This record gives sequence, structure tokens and C-alpha cells, in this order.
Amino acid sequence: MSEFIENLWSQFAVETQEHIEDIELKLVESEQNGASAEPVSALFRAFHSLKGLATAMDMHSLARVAHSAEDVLGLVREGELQLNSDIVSLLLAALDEIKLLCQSAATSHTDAEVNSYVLQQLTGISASIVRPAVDMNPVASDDRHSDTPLQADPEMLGYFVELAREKTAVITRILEPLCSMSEREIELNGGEFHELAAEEIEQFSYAGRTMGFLNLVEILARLRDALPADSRFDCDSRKTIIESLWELHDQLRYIEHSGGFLDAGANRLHTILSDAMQINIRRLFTRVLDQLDVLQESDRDNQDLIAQSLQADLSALNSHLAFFMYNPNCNIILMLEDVFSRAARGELHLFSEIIDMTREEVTHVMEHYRGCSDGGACVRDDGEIARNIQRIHDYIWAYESGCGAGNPVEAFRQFMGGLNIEPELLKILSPENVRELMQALENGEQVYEVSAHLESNEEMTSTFLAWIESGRSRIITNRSLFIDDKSWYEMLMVSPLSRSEINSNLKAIDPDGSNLCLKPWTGGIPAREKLLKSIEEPPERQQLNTDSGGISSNVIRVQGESLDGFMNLIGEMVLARSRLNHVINHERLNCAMTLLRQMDTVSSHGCAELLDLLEKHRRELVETDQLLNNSLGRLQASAVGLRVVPVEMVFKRLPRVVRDLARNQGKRVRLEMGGQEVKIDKAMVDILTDPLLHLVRNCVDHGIETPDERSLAGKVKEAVIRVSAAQRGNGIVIEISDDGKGIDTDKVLRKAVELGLVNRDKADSLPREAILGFIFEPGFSTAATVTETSGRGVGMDVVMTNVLRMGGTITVDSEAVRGTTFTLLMPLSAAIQEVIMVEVSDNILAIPGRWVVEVAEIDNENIQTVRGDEAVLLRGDFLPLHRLSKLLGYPDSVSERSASTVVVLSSGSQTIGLAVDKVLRRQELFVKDIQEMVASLPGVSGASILGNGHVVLILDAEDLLRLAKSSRQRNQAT
Amino acid sequence: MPKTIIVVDDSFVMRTLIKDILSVDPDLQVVGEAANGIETLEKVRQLQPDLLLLDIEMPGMDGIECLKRLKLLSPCKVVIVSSVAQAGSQQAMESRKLGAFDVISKPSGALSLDLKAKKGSDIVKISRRAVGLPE
Repeated sequence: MSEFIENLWSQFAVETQEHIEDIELKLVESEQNGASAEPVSALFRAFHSLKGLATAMDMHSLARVAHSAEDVLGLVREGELQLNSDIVSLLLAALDEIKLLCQSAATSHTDAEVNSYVLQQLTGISASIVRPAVDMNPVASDDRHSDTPLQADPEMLGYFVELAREKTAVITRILEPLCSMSEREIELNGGEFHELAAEEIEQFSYAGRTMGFLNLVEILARLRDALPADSRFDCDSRKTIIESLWELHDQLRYIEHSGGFLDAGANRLHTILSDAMQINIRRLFTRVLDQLDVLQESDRDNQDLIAQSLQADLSALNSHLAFFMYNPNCNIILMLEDVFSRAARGELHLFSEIIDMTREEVTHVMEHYRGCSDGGACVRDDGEIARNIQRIHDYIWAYESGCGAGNPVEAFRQFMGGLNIEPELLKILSPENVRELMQALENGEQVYEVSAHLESNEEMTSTFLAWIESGRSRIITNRSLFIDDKSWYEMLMVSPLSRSEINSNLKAIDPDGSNLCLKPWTGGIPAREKLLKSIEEPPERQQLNTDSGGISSNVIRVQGESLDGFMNLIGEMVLARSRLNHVINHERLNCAMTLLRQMDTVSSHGCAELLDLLEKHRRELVETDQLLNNSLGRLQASAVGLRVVPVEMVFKRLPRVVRDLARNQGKRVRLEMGGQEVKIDKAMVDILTDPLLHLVRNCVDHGIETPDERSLAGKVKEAVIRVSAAQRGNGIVIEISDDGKGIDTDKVLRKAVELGLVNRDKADSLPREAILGFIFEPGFSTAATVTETSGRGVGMDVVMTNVLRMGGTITVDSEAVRGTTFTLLMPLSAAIQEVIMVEVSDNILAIPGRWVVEVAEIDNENIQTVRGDEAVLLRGDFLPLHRLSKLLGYPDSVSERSASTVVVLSSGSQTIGLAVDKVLRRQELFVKDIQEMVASLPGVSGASILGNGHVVLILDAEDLLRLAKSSRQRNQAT
Repeated sequence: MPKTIIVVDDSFVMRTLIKDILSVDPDLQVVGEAANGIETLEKVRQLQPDLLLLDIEMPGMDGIECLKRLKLLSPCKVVIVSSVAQAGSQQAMESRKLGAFDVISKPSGALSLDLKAKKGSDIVKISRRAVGLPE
């Protein structure tokens, strides 16, 4: 048979087994709790899958049984049939039949005979119910596409909304940093945002298109186009992104409403956007202030760059504030943005006073904003804002225009105030305009305001423009405005011509004065010689630091495959770490250093340095090793967390067992299970199943009374068995409790005395726990009759052994009439063990740590020999002493030492001392699978590899105790 | 370029058999498989196949829900492979309404099929038709 087919069959066995277990559990549950729709369709599905598998593998008998059972469940599903106790029993019988057929199929790959009785019963039920005829006509092919739009399908809308929620969250997370980054940062990192977000947006958009949400698709397209591909990104794109996200928010709201207030993520988006913006605003404030500090410290060449980044930040700040309807201070920010954009273009100098004023203003706005977002009043005096703007404006304009010495700002203000021209025209004057104006006045020219309507009369317009160009009059600045639906230009003009000359010139161009007019001059002329001075050079500054922000981390998806390989790798890493540790602490390094030290005393000078170097090197190695060890520990812990399965895997076999047993014995039992979701190591599932089954069986068998007995005891007739699991620290606790009659301690004690487990005299003083502990002794049973399931006294000791072997513990508590509780405490993982490393006859061996009670150094003279057996008095108790070398059959090691190192081993009931040559250390070992040959050696349970690459055998403490016992018996026999 | 396919079935045996049958046709290439609805959606998103062979009875997310969610993800063709969804059944009608290309039954006696039978099977024939390959 080919490997392919072989593999297929073994997989077939696994899958059918899974279905069978699943069906069993669900059937029993349904019978107990009444059949609800969910388990019935799951049952139907499981039988159906069995049928499918059987058909595919040509197992027709199996397919027939599964098919008949499926039919019966189909009837239940359709409400034609009740899933009562009879039907459940029948289906369980069918399941047993299926089990047999599956077994035969899996082992011999042949189709076995069907038990025709079960089949008849099943088909009989189906046949007894007349079903309405099903329309078997195939669907007409043009009926495939429905006309109803997908939006109208509530399920479809639900799925879409779910997807929308997910996508919105991802997209927002990706784009959030963009909202606050400076342009330079975006230039560097923008491409990544583009890539990351574009794909998500594309997927979102596809879904939106499918659903017919065209507005959404449009918004998403806009968002995608605004993303920074390569380095093409500016403040406008950022604005578009923020705007699109808000539009997306509105659209999601709309979709939510149309779907009856589903959650498409609008709220979340709103929160994220607002939160992000709040955070950004704070961040921007801080960054602006920081950059202002840097700016003050930096030299002139760098100022452009910082100014550029400041401008971007101020712009971002402005749009952020505007989104919160936080308008009052926007004008100031806008003004500052303008200042820094001029500075970035090299149009103005950033004197430290300007920086100071900016800082002052930004701080003002920030404090005010904080007051608002903390719920304070959000009004700021308009007049104050205007005055502050004016202050900065005047300062900059004064210096840039080069106003006269002394107090330039004062001079500038006087000059501007003295001009007495249209305030709107004054506002738009740039510092250069002002300078030009001053220059003109100093040269004895005059200032004029001319209004012109240039659109109605082309001829006049060209004459006027020609006059301006040819003449000595110049336009400093102008603005356009509408008067009586006509567009006018208001111009500020300087000219050496007198007012009357200008007037007559204009008259010549526009005789009736309807299109051109000269505003009468009313102001005085400022003192000319004091107007200008040379522009101050800002002092040279130190270089600056540009700040750079990283991109926030992203989520990476990892496939859950090859987990075992992963675990093995971690195991190997743990081994490699031990090896590193071994190398670091190796004797030869010490030897080398001692040698060096000796040479040093001889005198060589370089030796001391070399020694220092080595010592330093070693210290660093040790530190690194510790670091590595820490992270490995965490890695190991999380890896263990990966290979876990829910404890449900173990629990699911319990209901059937309880049901069958209770039925057999005429008892009424309800099984309650809790904590099925608690996770355990996959390897533990198999080991745990048998002990649990046994404990539960015991409960039904011994613990629980018949309904009549319960009535007599004043209890409800139906007994309850509770099985629950919970995680506690590094392990899990499984509790099995019943409300039965409890364990009769007197009976247990009598039996224990009878079996010679305890001395009759001592018996009365034994504590309750100790008495209860006897039930775990081999061969112990208090049952009067031996039944199929219990009473033979085999079992509890096996349970105990299994649990201990896995590194767990089991305790029992019982109270007459109230019931019994077994508590199992199991480790999460079975793969890593703590061991004590010992040396015996030049061999290094590991003893599982949990069996070791203590390690003692015992003087040889305290060791006594009684009838060939050694024993030692340890804290008042005689401890049987064994040479480990002897137990394992190693050659005796010769020792001149006057004392022996003894490892005290205890299983709870039996305690022995093991004499070893040396106890090396306590450490954790990763247990490797070992071959049968090795596993069958007495006293060996596993193997591991040490840091130095040596294989070390892990001893089986239980086996050692047994070996010790038998060697003692042998000695006594001789 | 062969057409790409993802095979969805909660049974490993079934997936293996279906892949085995499809392997006789060089124009069809199975690029992925999934055992449940969630996995399916994830794989489709990653691999963007031309065709999906979908089991309609799955634990957790059923085939119909999976179909609906798929519509939001990818334009790939879907053929339902299931023995419940025989033509005429409620699920067959619904899945066709949702744009499934066709509904075919699971392979029977797949182990004993020879090359010719595999080539002539519904799985190969309908798959070819779904992705627009000549018969």
C-alpha cells in the first residue's frame, strides 16, 4: 500500500474517532438538557461527515448506518421527532455499531457486516414518519442572481458592518501618526503608510462596491489618493486625509443607521480621531515649543529648515484646532504660520524677539486650549487676540522694513498710523512694501490711494496701465473689492508728482471720473530722515538637532503551523543556553586566569592588563547569559502557552461514562462540568483521560446512592457530580466532587488495619487526611462486591501513580452524607522538568526535583548497618539508605571521604536516602523522547542533553523506590 | 498559468481526496486549503484564488455565511462541494442565489478512481467550467 493511502487511512481513523466522541458527548448532553437546535444540527453534521468520509473511502456499510442515523436526526431537526431517551439509546447503539465498523475500516480497510437490527430500527423510525414531498426540481439557472440589493439583506449588511469595523480600525491605526508628523518625517516614511493603508483601503472599497455603498467607495478613493506615495505629500494631503476620515465617519454613521444602529465603527473612529487629534494637538504644541528653543540656539543656515518644519506643525495645529471648532485662536496660529513660511523662504529674519513672542503666544493658546478641553470657558477676548496679532505683526514689519533706530516698533507704528490710508490696504502691506513706501517718502515722493474700475472700458484700461508703466508713479500694493456690483481695484501708489498733477493725469485718461478716482489725502507726512536704518544681522548660532519620530509598530500575522518544530527549537535553545553557561563557568577559564595571576606576580606587566580584560570580558558574558536566560524563560513560557488545548478534550468523554454507569446501577446522576475552556498541554490530554474517567466512575459507583437511599437521607433523588477545571498560577486544578454518601473513614481504617497498612495501636490516633490517603494504596477497596467497573481495588493507586508521574498531586476530602471531592493539581506542561543533578561513579544523572525532599551531608559514622541494610538516623527517624551506584548496577566508587552525600527521595508513603558521590546542581531540563531500548532500563524515565552536549539520563524515582524495596527484600531473604 | 484553487472542507481526508482528484488536471492548481470558514476567508484574502471548492456543512461558520462574507472579499468563483446541498435543496438554492457557480456532491469511492475516472469526475469538469477553461 502506498504511503499516501496509508496516511489517508490513519487520518480517516483520527477523524472518525473525533466525530464519534463528539456525537457521544452531544447525545448524552441533549438527553440530559433537552435538545436545543444547536447540538442537534451539530449531531446531524457529525453523522453527515461520517457518511461523507465513509462514502469517499468506499466503506458502504458504515455509510449506510451513518446515513440512517443522519436521517433520524434530520427528522429531529425538522421537529418531526423528539430526541427522547429511547431515540438517544438507539442512536448510541448506532454509534457503537459505527465504532466497530470504523475500527474494522481503519485496521483492515475492509467493509464489515452491518448489524441489521440497529439499521432496521433506524430506518423503521424514518419510515414511520411521513414527510411532505421535497421539491426535487433543480433550480433554474437564471434564478441564480437575486434582484434584491445586497444592502437589503440584514445578514449581508451585518457582515459588511463587521468588516467595516475591522478595516476602519486598521486604517485609522495606520494613518493616525500621519496626522501629526512633520513633512520631513513624512517624506522619509510616507511610502510605508501608503503601502500599508492602500491595501486595506482597497479591500474595504471592494466590499463597499459589492454592497453598493458608492459614496463610501468615493471617500475611500479620495483617502487613498491623498496617501503619501513616494515623497509627494504636503500639508494639503494631510488635510485631505483628516477630512476623508471624518467623511468616512459620517458615512459609517449613515450605514449604521440604515442597518438599524449596528456598529460599523463610527463611534470608534470618532473616538480615535478625536483622541488622536487631542494627542496630536498636545504633541504639536510641545513640538512647536521645542523647535522654538532649538531655533533660538541654531545658526542662520539651519533656521530655514526649522522654520519650514515649524510652519508645517503650525499648519497641522491650525487644522486640528479648526476641527474641534476651536476658532478663537486660529487667527494667531494662522499669522504665525505665515511668519514661518516667510522665514522658510528666507524672506524674513527670525530675531530672538520674534521667537520669544511666538513662544509666548503659542503658550497662551496652549493654556487656553487646555482650559477648554478641561471643560473651562472657551471664550477668549477678540480684542486681546487682535492686539496680540498686531504686536507680532508690528514687530516683524518694523524690523523687516528697517524702521528707524531707537525703538523700531514704535517708529513703525507711528509711521503706519501717520499714513492714514485705508486700514485694509495697510494690512496687506508686506515688510518689503513698507520699506518701499518709506524709501519713497524719504525721497520726497507722495502717497496716493487710487481706485480704478478697469473692466468696462478697455481703451481706458490700457491707457491707464500704460501711464503707470511709463510714468514715475508706482503701485505698491492693491486689493480688489466690489462696489455696486462693479469690481474695483484699490491701489496704493507712490509718485514724485503732486496731487494736482496726478489729478489732471487721471482726468486725461478718464474724463468723467466714473472709472478712476483719487482718494483725498488727509494724513501728515512722517519725518523722512528717521524712517530707515540698516537691517540688523541676527547673531550666529549653534547647530540644531532635528527631531525625528518613528512609525508605530504594526501587527504581524504568523501562521499557527509547525508549532512542534517551534517547541523543539526552543528546547534546543534552552540547551544551547545551558551550554553557554557551561562554557562561561568552565574551569579552564579559571585556570587560565589563575595562571595569569601567577605570571603577574613574577612581574610581567602586560599580564595584569590581560587579566583585567579577561575579567571584564567574563563579567559581560555572565551578564549577557543572564539576560539571555531571562528572555529564554519568557519565550519558553509563552511557547508552552501556544501548544495548549482546552481541557474540554478530556472532559468530553465523561458524560457517556456517567450516563451508562448510572443507568446500569439504577442511579440518577446529573453531570455538571465547568471550566472546559481552561487550557492544558496537548500531551497531557492522553495521560489525564484515564485517571479522570476512573475518578468519575468511582463517584458513581461508590459515592452516589440509589434514589431510594437518597430519599431516606433527605436528599433530592438526582445526584450531582461536578467536574471543573481552573487555572491556578503555573498549573491547573481539576476538581471532581459528588454529593453522595462520602467515604466511610471507619471502614477505610478497618480495611487498612486488615491489610497491614497501619498498626492497630496507632490507628486511633491517625488524622483524617491520613486515613483518606489509604484509598490510594495498591489493592485497597472497601466495596463489598466486585463489579465490572470497580471494587477490585485496582485503580486509585494507578490514578495516583499517573498523576504523580506527570508532576501533579491528588488530594481527597470527604464528609459523611455530604459527599467527596478529589482535587488534582497538574502542571501546565509535561515537557520541562526540574531536576537535581548528581554524580555517581563518574556518571551524571538527573533525579526529578519534585521527588527530592532534601539533600543532606551525613557522617559515615552515623550510618548503621542492620542485617546488611544500611540506614541512617535523620532528625530522629530511621531512613533506609541505598547506594545509587548499587541500585543501578554501576561499579562501586571508591571514596576516602568521611561523609556521604544523601539525596532523600519520597513518594509520600515511602522515603529512602540515596547515597551519591556528589550533588552538582538543581536545573531545568527539557525532556527528550527516548527510544524503547533505553526506556526499558530499570530506573530510567527519560533523557536530556546537557550544555556540554553530554547525554544525561533522567531517573524514574518511582522505579528507584521499587528497586530499593526489592533489594531490601532480597537482603532480608538471604 | 494554471488556475488557482483553494479547497475547503473540515475533513483532512476529504481535502486530500479532492486535491488528489484535481491533481490530474495540469490547468488546475490547488494553492491552499482550509478547514473552516474563518480560515477560508483568511486564505482567500492572502492567496486571491480563481476558484474556491467549498463545503457547505462546516462547524462554526457555515457555508452560506462563508459565501456571503466571501462576496465582500474577492471576486473568485465558488463551487459548492457537498452531499447535503444536492440540487433542489434549500441550501443549494440559496448558495446559487449568492453567486455560487454550481453545486456538486462529494467524491464517492475516491480511493478506487483511476486516472480516467478522475479526469471525468464532476470535481474536475465543473472546476474547469467555473474558471472558464474548455472542457
